[in-house]
Amino acid sequence: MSQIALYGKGGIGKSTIAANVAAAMGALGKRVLQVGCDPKHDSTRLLLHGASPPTVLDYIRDAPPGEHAADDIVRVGAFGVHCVEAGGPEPGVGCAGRGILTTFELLERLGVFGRDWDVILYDVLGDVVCGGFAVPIRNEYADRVYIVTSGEFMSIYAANNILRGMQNYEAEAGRVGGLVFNARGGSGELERVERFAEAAGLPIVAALPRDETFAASERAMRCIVEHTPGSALAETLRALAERMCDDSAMCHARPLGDRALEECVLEGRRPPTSFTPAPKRAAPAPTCEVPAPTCEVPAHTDSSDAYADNSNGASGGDVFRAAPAPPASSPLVSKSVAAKEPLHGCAFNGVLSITTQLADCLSVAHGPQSCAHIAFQTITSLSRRHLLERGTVLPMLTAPPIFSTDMSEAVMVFGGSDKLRARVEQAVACRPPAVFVVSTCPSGIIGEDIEATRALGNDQTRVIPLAADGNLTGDHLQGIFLAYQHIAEELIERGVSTEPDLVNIVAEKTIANATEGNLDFVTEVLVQLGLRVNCRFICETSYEQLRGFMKAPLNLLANEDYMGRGLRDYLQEEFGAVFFDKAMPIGFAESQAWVAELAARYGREDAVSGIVETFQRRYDALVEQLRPILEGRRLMIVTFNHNIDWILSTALDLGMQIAYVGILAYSQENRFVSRFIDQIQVLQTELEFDALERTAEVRDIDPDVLISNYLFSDDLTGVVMDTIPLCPDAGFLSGIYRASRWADMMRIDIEEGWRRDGDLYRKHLS
Amino acid sequence: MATYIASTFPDSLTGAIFAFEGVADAAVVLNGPTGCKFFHSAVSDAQFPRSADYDPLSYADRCYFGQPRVPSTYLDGDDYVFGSAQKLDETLRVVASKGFSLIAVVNSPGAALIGDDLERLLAGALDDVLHLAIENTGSSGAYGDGFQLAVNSMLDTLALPEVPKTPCSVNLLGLNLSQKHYEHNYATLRELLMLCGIEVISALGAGDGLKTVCRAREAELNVVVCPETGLLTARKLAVEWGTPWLCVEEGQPIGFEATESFVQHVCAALGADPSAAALQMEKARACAYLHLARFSSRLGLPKGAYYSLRATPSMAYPFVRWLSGYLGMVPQAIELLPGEDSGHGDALRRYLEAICSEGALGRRIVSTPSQLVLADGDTIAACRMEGHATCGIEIGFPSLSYLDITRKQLYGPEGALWLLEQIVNGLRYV
Repeated sequence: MSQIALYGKGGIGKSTIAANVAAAMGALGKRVLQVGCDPKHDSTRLLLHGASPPTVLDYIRDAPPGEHAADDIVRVGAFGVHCVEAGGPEPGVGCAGRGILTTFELLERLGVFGRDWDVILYDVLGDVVCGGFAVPIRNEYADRVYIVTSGEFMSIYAANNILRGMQNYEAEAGRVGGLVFNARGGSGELERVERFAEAAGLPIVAALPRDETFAASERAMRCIVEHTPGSALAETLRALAERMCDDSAMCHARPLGDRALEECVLEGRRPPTSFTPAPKRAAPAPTCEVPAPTCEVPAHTDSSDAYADNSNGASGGDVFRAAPAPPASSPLVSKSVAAKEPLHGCAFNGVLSITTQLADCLSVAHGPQSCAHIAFQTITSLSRRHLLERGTVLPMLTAPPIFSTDMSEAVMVFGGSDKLRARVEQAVACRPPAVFVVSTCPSGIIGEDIEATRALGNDQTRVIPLAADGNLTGDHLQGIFLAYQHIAEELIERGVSTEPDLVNIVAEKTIANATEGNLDFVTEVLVQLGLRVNCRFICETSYEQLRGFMKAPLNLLANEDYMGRGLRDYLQEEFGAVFFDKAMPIGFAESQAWVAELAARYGREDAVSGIVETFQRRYDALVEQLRPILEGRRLMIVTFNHNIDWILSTALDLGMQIAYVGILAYSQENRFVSRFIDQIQVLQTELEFDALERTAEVRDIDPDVLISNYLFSDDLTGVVMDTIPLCPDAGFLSGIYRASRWADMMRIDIEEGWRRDGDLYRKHLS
Repeated sequence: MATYIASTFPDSLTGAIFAFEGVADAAVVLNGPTGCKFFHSAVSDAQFPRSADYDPLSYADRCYFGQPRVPSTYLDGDDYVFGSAQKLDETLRVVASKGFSLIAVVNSPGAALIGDDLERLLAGALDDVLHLAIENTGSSGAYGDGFQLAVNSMLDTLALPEVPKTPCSVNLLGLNLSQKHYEHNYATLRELLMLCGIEVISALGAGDGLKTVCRAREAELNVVVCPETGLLTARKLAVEWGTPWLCVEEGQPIGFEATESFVQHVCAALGADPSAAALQMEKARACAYLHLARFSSRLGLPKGAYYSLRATPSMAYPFVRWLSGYLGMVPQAIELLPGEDSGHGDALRRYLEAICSEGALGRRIVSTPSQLVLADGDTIAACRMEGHATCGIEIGFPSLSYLDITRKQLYGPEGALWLLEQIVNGLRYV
């Protein structure tokens, strides 16, 4: 397959030439995809007979990601040329360059680029104005670049600038195919272009005269090879198309300095350079001869416009069918991203919360200082509090090894690949087994190519780019997913021998009060069953432990929330990982069942009573002690948690009434289930609690005990209020310990004196 | 693997946000993603609580995300392509309904790249509320630069008219929300100067309301307490208002000598009498003497005890002079935080040379065992992780999350005694 980019100054006729070349290629039987990379989205207008396809960026904005499909944005035009328009913001707002990046990301994700095209043709806005517009000339995209220019100085100046842009992405082999001269009719035009071509060492691959045929075909909304196929211009375009398809003599980008350019073009001095094609790359496979297995591309003869819209009764051959994305790389998607809800936090921060859990690896943050600082503080917040309150250090959360490139204003404008390279080299010099390179919003917006840092790795250290692009890819959870998935695919060794006494723990929360205690609980049970923890995916672990993830024949899911389920499904599907079917248990009944089933799996039923009995005695004693205080009391719960059976079962054991359960609407999907549904007097899910009406609602329910994730600030005299954590403690006694607090508060039956000082606060401090 | 704490500096974005958050009745709207919002909201709320209500449902408007401070436009990928106008307009209308005296919009680094016309959008949504926009705080700029950019922009927006100077009055420049105990440092200086008959009119960005900020032009003198966050503003106001400024060579008023020097210089500049404040200092020195004499005779300390310090130059210099010159302690590692250095860094270097300790400057704290570490919470925690048997004294941000309720300060006589209390209680096992 050839990937060809056509660049050139705005208004030079580049889109017209691109469409005509694409049509000529189509007429030659090539399978062609044309991608218009210009916010004015008219690149494919002639191919589509004047119709405007939905732009990719409008589509991304309006359609939920989970519903994205290639055939919503790909249209089939003349000669079977498939057409995509990136689109972009209104002039003067937003960032069109970022739009190009976003477009390419979606086309990648939907498998559009992965089809068996003979040619992908990128028609790119006039100049390399920022990193976004340079995407088509990045190494993984266009392997040939042609620059359209007239003989006007500004057009040649723009062509020279494009060569400068290309130089930043130049690999060993050159990628410049040459200049396409599009005459505007001025005197001495061709000579100026020739002098520039000679100085830059480029061939002029076609010279298109100023010809009324262009205007006539545009009026007819047709390409020339369709409108006037017998014209001389059509012949020239066909020759150009053939050359572009077959051209293998690419040149290096050798832009001129400003002064040299002026001398060469305006003053007519011929510099002492000559055409020097770059070494030929390996002969390209004759891809245009490979038959299309699934997509027929009929030579287009129908002159109606109906085929411009796939949903408009087009024949089967006109409908684009994207190649399915390989299952291995189906991205896990956070709920907020999938539903296009407001994003909570950023993917950059989420990625770092995971990469910093590999004790022996380093992370490089490519972005402004504030991004690394915020991530650092987010990670260390729990550790600092832990040190203060308990006097102990949480090693993984105390000094997360994050190097920042501290992107400056200059980098924002001119790009920061040098600084990024230096930082990554600095990290690699520390000889960790892996360096993760993570991008922020600004580096994503300006189109920094962090993938290129992979080459900076060596035998000792792998460099693994993780393109979070701040929150451009999504929220905090999306970043966690991104890190999980990429790290798994990069590090986990497949086909290793399993060891029967090993288990992995999967999907622990890296920054949560309960994590350490929960691990202690699980470890205690595992020890009594003769089992050991192999790897915590990904929490307080190491490069080698992750590589050996598959040594454990069984995986224990820490949390069965959206994140945990997504990760479990992914590891099952991608690695064939086997999971125990119960998540880490919270509450007595859940813990009892968890221990019993785990023990049974290993034929260790004999160990169950030893584990459970101690807790059972303690639980029963507390129930007996608390029941006289709590029996018959009305319990009201308002929470974001979807699993509260550990509380409900305790409350019911204590003889309490479940007066009300309200599950607050949040970014997680509603997964509330309970085996006590029939004992809940009032149940509301997807609750939107109104702060103004809340007091009256609570009074109406008349609870004795009200529990929620945050205490209500309302004046609710006579109601015992308590909190439940978003990440509760695992184990047998989680529920009964909570109930002990309610009982104690109820027993002393004291309204705190400070609550009467609200007026004093308002008088003196507010 | 070595311990890295390289990325712990807040930059100009945080500086700008905290400047507005430090005006009691102002709101700052972050035009950016929530990834930039949550941290700034949580920290500014902890540093300068304005409300007794912590219930997320009380901040249910979408732009607040359940937090009381720093509403944001929660930008996402679409907004970077198409612009933030719609979300900004919606957010501004919500915030405008809350009754703030001033609303400032600050672009995140990503939003600054889009180039939305904030002024036009603000004018459309906030016709009745005083407002301004900071389109670009400078990517990875110094915290102090962002802080002063915001303070200076606020003063430009206020366009305070010329008024007669109030005799014997000052503004205190450079105090801000990222400093440990900034509010009580402010109160201490206010009280100390009041003893000398000097009125402190305002401390821009350190908790005053807009009404107080609007009196700033009355001050006869601007006193730059922290040059890293106040010197640029002082220079600007000297030009625009004709207000002279003073930055004390001894640095921030930490320890007895630096405090005495601070008071004397300010009094000298205004012709005020420092004797009442000097008496306070004498009493504090007497109190310190009592405890140091007993402590020293029993343990021979604090003289000779090793300490490390992480602070800005204007803070580090008086600290080192006090810890070494007054208490006789030995510096082990001194890390200077980035920011404008108006000579305090050089003065520190010279002082360390004079006490044969120049090697301490620039040495890494986490790899240098010492008995006391005066630094931020991250550094103290990292030292503990390295296994250092050290006592940590928090003098910077971020904190270990200790919730301060009673008054504590680093400045003035009470600040010196508080620090002394921390030091002698941290050295009993040396």
